Amino acid sequence: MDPYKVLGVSPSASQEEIKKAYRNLVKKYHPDKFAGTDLEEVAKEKLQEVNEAYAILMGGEVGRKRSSTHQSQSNQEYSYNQGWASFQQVRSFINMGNIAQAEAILAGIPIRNAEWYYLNGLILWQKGWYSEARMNIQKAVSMDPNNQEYRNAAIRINNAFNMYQSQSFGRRSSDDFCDCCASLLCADCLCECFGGDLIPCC
Amino acid sequence: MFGYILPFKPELKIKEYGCYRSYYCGVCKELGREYQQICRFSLNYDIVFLAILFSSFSEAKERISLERCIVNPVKKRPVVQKSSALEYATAIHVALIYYKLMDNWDDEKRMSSLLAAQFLKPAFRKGLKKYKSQYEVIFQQLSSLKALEREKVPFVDQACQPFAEMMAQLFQYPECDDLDCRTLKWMGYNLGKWIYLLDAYQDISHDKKQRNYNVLLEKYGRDLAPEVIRQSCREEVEFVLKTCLLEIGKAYELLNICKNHAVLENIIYLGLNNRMQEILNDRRDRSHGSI
Repeated sequence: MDPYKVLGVSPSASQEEIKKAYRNLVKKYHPDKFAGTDLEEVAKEKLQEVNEAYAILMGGEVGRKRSSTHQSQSNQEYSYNQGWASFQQVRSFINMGNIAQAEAILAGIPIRNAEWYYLNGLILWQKGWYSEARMNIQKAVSMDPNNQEYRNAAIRINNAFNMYQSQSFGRRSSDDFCDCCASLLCADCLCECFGGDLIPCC
Repeated sequence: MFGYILPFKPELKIKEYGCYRSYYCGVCKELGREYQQICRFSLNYDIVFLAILFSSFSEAKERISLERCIVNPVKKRPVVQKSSALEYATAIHVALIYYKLMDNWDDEKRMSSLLAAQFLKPAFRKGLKKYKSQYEVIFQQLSSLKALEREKVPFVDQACQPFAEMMAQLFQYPECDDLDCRTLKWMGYNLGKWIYLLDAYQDISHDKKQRNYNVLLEKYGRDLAPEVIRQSCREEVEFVLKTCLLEIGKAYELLNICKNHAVLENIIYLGLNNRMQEILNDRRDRSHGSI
């Protein structure tokens, strides 16, 4: 691994520049931004790489230590017994990103309570089945309206939807203001052609 | 695929437009060179996007030369030269087109499709030799798509699954590392889902008239007027489509892209959104024009 390349800085970069690049990348790869799908794991690994590169460049060992504990955790094998399957197991498989396993256990649980629908919703979301996921989460909320966890998930799903316009999408095309200025200037030029003046100073 | 993946032209800089053009010409020439001249007629924008995306993982600068073209024999244009990314993108394209034509023949017994498919057959065989696993994925997923259509599945997510899964597999460009492949897989899944659903929404009237399968007709009622169906499915369709675009954008942020940032961002953040808005609001403002 070339730590300079990972951080996107030149080998002659100053400590300040390295710190700045590091902070930007940490923000960029923050796993919370990618929560709920397979991208979360990818983002975590990217972040780990960034931490390691930073640790190397800054002469520390912090990043490396953190990465090794993370590795051992995700490689841990979980054994389970279908008969004793529980929602807790489903949750731990979801957290590990092992969706197929989580789905299999959940399907084996006969109770269809709010938690079942909630977990099913999380699994479906991770598979990219957004419509069904939303229905399951909404069902969980309606069955247990006081549960903050379910309500948060419902809000998160709808927020993603609302965020759509405001965030990156359409970010470059929001130049209505410029359009407005341009048309004013245009109008001014036209007026001047005809001997009048809309904007006196130009 | 259906030609939904376009840049948003008003926001392209001239140099970005030139870059897009030279990839476009590169893909077209590659189709003629590697397969047959006839394949060049099937060129669409989706495949150009794939070619640019896959090319952007390599740091090496693209080799570009000025070449003439049958369409415009007088003026020489910049053309991106052969690369493994172009090769991969065109091979996928040939398979998709071939299966699409055969599908048209199976469904509607359109003679022209069968004829065109026959012309494409040698090209298809050639691609199959090199990219066997990818061609098999396409065949499998399109078969399950047909099975779904026969069953008249009325659920959006389930109906989108085969096409999305196919794209997820095809997006895993063989020359990428593991992390990029996983990210590409998610990007492909969401893009496939987005294309399939957008196409279903756009085809509501047509499919109703032709009595074709369309998941939105099955779910919201085949007997209603197309206007009513569009209105009642709009919320769900919009929710899924926008979520897909958000996820595509997130995936893009995680990719190790080395070049062509501006063009790719234009397509992903503006082009897709613009195309979606046009179809959802049933307008064609022609803002992108022809490329």
